[in-house]
Amino acid sequence: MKRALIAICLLSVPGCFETCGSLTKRLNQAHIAVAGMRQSAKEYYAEKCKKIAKACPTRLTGEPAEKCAELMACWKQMDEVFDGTTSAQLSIYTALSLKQVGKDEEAESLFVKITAAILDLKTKLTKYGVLSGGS
Amino acid sequence: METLIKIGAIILKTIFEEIRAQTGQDISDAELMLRLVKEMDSTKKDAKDIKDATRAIAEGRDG
Repeated sequence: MKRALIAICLLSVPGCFETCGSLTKRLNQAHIAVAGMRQSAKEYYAEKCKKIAKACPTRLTGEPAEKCAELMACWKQMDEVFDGTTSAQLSIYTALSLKQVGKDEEAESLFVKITAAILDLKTKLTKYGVLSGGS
Repeated sequence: METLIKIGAIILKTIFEEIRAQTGQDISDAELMLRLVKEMDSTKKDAKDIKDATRAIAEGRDG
């Protein structure tokens, strides 16, 4: 919960998030924001999918979990969110790699994409209720 | 009401101190890359753990 709040606080100051400090420091901020969202998603889906699994008719029939459409939808949404966090983390990693081989300009331009990806992820998490406790 | 405001202020102070502590720290590129790799590994593991646990529940194997 604390990490989620930190992520939200970081994301609520995009001006500073994009321009304050060295590239490494800003990439670290981006990393912290993504890690906070990932942690929130983990806690949210562990609870949400558990509740859904308890209501699956397959519990009584002994059929495989794949027959429980609601649980599959929960897994799919979780995968989508985790794919988003991993994609943002890979971009941060790539920016660091570019910086290390002296391609600072390319790394800097990638940071703009990273910021956009993080804001997209935040929108998605809000839509799914991970950050606001909605659906 | 006053107590609630005090609690809110303490929580906000803690959050901002945490942000300052985490984002203000000097970190090397290598250390940050290592943290990213660990985070990505944890993501894979978390997804698998959640699926395994909820599969067991959905299939009535959770005892």
